[in-house]
Amino acid sequence: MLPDKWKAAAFPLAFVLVAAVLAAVPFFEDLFYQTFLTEVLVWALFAISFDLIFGYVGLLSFGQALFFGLGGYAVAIPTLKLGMGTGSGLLLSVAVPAAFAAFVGFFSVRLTGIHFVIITIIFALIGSTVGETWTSLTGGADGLVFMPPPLDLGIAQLDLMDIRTTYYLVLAIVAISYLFLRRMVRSPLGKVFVAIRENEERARLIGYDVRRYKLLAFVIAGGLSGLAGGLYTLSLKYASATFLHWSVSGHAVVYAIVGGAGTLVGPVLGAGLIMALEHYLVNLLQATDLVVGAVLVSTLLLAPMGIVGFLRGRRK
Amino acid sequence: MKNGNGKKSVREVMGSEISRRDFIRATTMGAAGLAVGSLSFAPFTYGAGKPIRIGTIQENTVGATVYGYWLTKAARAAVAKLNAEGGIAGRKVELVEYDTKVNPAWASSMYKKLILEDKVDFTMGSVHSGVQMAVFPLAQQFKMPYFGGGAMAAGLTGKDAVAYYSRIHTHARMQAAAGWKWGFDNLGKNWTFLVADYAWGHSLAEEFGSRIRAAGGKTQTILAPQNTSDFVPYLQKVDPGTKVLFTAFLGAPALGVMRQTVELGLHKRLQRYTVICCTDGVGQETVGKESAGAHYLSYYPRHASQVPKELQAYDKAYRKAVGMTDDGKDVSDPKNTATVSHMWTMWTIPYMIKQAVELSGWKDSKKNADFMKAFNTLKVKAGPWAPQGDLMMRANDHQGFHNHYLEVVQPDLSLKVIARVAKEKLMYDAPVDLRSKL
Repeated sequence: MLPDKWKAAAFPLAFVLVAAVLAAVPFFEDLFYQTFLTEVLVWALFAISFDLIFGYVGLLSFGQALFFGLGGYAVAIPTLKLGMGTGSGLLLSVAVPAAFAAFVGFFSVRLTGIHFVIITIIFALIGSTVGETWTSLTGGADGLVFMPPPLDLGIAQLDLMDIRTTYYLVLAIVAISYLFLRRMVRSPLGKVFVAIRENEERARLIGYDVRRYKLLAFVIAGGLSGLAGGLYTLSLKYASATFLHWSVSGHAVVYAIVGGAGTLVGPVLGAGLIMALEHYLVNLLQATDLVVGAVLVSTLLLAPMGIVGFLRGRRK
Repeated sequence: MKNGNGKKSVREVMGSEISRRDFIRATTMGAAGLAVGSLSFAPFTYGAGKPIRIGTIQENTVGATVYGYWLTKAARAAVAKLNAEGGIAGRKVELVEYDTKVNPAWASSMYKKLILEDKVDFTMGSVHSGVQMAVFPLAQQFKMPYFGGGAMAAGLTGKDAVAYYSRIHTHARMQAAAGWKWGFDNLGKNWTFLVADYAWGHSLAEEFGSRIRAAGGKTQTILAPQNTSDFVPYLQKVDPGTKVLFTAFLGAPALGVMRQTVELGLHKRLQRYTVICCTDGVGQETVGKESAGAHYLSYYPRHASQVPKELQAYDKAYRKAVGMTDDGKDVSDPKNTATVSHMWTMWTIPYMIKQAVELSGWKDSKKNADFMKAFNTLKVKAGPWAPQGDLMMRANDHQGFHNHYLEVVQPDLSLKVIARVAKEKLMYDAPVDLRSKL
């Protein structure tokens, strides 16, 4: 058994080590791996935002795609149609989806179980239908192409047409988001989330306003999903109504389940593993989804708590 | 000998220990065998240059797979023919293929892989406008020449155009230019558009409709979700005075709307008209006898017998090369109907790449701008590489022009060409000028 002070130091050390390795990647790997890791980081952010609502509060939301897609449009539309800056777009990519999440959550968190799943799918379907038909604003299924202006940080301007710059921006934002969520789930607020997940009735009986806490988690997860969508759109220079479709939420579900829901690090691991698997498999076969499906089924049968849950179980 | 857990050791199972010398001998022989074996597959070279790599992205899984299947088939056949004729500038041509999954995000990842990992020289493919739009920023950023495979959104060579993209085939605006006048003069002046409620459907209704209205005709537009199965509520809204019902849906709904117009008896009082995109790759026997009498605007006759006489020799050789019968079916599977009106693009583009390489003196990506300038001034004469007839590129918007056809479904469900629209009649003012952007 490690002494407590070593345990306390383990996470910061591991975090700094991983961040340092990722920061060093552009010096050793070519542009392709930088773009690939950028995508992995974006989907990892989407997966951890889903993990907050699913892994910690116990709500299986397929509506996260709505917030992801909205985040993308919150960056693309103001930039393209209003000439706004990238920084404002990124802020809107959190604010707009969070506001929508408050609206969707107001109705959704009253429900539980399969009813919650269905209502989140319905909201996402409404979003994608509006996105596909309101073509003058969204570009519909064809989408919107835009060239993001440099991100003005006051002391420097970041050229987001540069792959390495985009990679570092995404790495920094995802790292900060991860630390933010980790701090939250380890705070008293996070304990309430877990209490709701474990026994909603008991949490209510001891005085917590369960609906309000669930709504709070839903809004935070929505905002972070939107941020992931905004970063994705920035990296692609493209936003589309297809990102609003509820099936996009499936990415987060798979990454969280394979990596280990309710662990934060698990969904990051899941995103990395599945995306790397797809990347290498695509050279051998086209139907990569079949293999991802097989991995998901195997995980559910052999390690229902995901890879991280399995490893923690063995350690105990 | 057994391990502590009672299981047999590896050595016991194998029967004898492998010495280092045996290991080295075996692996050396294996490596030599592999090397010798690979010699027969080693790419031959026509000259000192490394192979020219063409990357393709196509819809091979998830949806629109009939397009992916046939466009890939045509691309492979074209590359085989190019190599048999000496490659491009003496260099062998290789094809690198990825699936788009009809997913713009995935397609964008695959496109990055083509550029940055597979180091392709040129790219082509996809019939999905959204997929093409998603890769536009990459084509522009990496100055990667990209040639569309069959996407019909007018904006791709209009308001959304980028300098490193070219489209050699038709699109919604050109279809309207080709099809409205014939329909207006021959089918009727009062039109109802029943179209899919998304960009493509809107675009067709607007492009055809604006021309009909400008000529003094009347139009009504009814939007229905692309995945509609029951069209009765929408067909009931069709104006009683309608003479032409123009429909635009893809896949099963395209077949459903055709059948249900017959079930409601609408086919007796109005003419049915659509673009071949709705049922390209679908045999008329699948659409059903209800399709008899319907009119299609197409870009290549489905049946060899309907191809203009002067093109029939080229058409015959082309069909043979891509494995397509005279009736537009797969040689190895008569149930598989080809996407005849779309797939020729993948046959012609590799040849146009060859021409542009030779014209521009292209050797590597440093001359991509010169290559694009050469490509977009090409005038391809009808021939073995252009069985669809003469094709002309316009340098301003990187748009190609070719002939169109009006086909009508016969009682035996074959498609008969009743009119040909010359490419010269399809010219419109270029909406953008990309010449200074290369």
